[in-house]
Amino acid sequence: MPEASTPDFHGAFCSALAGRPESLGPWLPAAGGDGLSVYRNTILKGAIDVLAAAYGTVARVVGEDWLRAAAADYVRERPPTRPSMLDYGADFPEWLAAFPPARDTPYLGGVALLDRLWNRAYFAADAEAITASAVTRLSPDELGATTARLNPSAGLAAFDQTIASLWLAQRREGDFRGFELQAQPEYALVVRVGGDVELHRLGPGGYGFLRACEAGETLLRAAERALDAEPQADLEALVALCIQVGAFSALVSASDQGSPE
Amino acid sequence: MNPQATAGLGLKPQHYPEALASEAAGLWVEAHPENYMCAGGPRLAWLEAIRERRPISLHGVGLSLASDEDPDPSHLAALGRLADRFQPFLVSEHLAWSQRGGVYRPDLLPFPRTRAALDRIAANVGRMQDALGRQVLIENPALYLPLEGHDFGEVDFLRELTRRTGCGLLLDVNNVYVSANNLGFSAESYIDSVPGALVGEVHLAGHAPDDGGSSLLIDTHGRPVAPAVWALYERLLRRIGPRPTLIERDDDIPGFADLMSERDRADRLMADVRSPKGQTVHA
Amino acid sequence: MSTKSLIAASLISAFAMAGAAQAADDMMKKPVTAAQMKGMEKCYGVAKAHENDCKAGPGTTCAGTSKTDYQGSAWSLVKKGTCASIKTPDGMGSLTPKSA
Repeated sequence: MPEASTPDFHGAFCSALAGRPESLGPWLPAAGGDGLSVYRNTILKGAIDVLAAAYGTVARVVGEDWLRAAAADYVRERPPTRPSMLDYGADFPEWLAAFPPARDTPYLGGVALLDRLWNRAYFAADAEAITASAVTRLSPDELGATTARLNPSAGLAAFDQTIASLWLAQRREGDFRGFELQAQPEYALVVRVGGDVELHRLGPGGYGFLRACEAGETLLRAAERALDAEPQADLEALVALCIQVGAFSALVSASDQGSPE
Repeated sequence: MNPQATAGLGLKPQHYPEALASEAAGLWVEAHPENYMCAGGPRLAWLEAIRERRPISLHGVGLSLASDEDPDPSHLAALGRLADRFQPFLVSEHLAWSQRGGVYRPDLLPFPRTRAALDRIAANVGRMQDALGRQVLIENPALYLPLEGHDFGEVDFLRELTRRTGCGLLLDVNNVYVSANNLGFSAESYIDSVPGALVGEVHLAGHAPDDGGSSLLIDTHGRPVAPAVWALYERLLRRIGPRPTLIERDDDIPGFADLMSERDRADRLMADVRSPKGQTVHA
Repeated sequence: MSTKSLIAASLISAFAMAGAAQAADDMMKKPVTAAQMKGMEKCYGVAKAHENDCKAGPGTTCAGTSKTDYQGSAWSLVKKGTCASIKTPDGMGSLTPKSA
């Protein structure tokens, strides 16, 4: 099994890619600088292309060149680990939020987070959304003890500025020149039903409600969270919205919860 | 050796609706399985819809068969699930590596074609075929470095790999042209020396001169197939006959109709070598 | 009634109302099927320009030896993006190029 005496070509090649071409000496006595550059650049381009595609709204806010240059720094710090790169760059939003050159645009991390939730929803498992009529068969006690499972594509975000509106303005209008960010909280649910990924703005009550559902709390507890966050929350409107946009994929009653799926 | 000896297209998301609607006779499509390794969503739904009307080929770019590490079992399992679901008429991978030490390098990296490398790659191809329960095709890569320390020429290495594992070959004519330019060998001699019976698929793609000014040709897949590559393809067809042939385009992707016209050209060339008229031309 | 009971009662009412509203067009939302192309086309239909890029990810595209795009911190040299026109509560947003 072990190729004991064979020199480690693969290690030497990685070392050469990292800037030490002399590592390849035994295999590349002549200069091979141009060829190595092709491999090095192709590897970077492949990873940057993935990020540029996944963070399209960020690219339109800062410009494609800026995003690709920032992505190059990210790729060097956190290279891909797996051949399927559909999920590569999942932590790019937090990295970008802490990226010193983005210091003057503190909303970029939030815009990136919404792009990330969009992408995650796009590739998430398909699920049927529950219908309200399925729920009305339950008694009040049963309903209170029931948990609502979020659609696998659902993602939640909270901002202290109107970043969801900025993102939506960009996506809907394709133009955000003159957009004025307001210093007021915004909450977002990103979810896909069928082929459509949509962003829905929520109030603090709706956000608290869905976060509690996401954490596996009962509907009763989730409703309490909603009212804690927003005493005037309209539960009827909230539930109607959640069902209408397909936020829930299953209701699990207390008696079902002991059994693993 | 293959019922689908017609020309196909690399499937790109921007062309999903047209690929689904196309009425072109014999059209098949090829997808990179890595781009479909998701739990659900539109991309898989499109591939499924297209699969109902067209044969599909799965062309892997990430299994890293020439690595000094074993293929990632989870990646192989994901490939197996896609193959089960979409029942591809061809499955292929590259004679290259990209995974090492927990890092995936999205490129097809070279290696010295030693006896030890042959042992390792044959074992990996065997693992792949065992996992999928079928024969796979292995593609010759585009090369950029004049490495030393080979025990085999590329064609000999590939022939030996097929002998040991029962795999077939995916002959990328553009890669032969690019490598021949970059490493200084004769593309014609290479094409003439490939055992025809082993070739299960042919790839055609565009390349470009190096934007950095070196004398290298770059396998960009960002342009139409070059005239010299078409000429090599015809040379190959005249010798071995028609094979499933793919037009690959992964960058600067034009409209569907533009790609279809390249695809139709490959189809016509195959028809020419099938017909007596085509044969007399070169008699 | 306790607060909990009140909340539970209003939850029931909420679901009942939602159920009644939905009964009118009680369409089950199903997983994506081949027939549901409308939503998928949006990805590359008219909304394409403003949607996320639905690119399939890298194929087998090689890059040349030119250093454009790949040099460390090239961002510090590129132009400010259009974000400069977004007003923030703290003033105009900008991407200040910081020279190394």
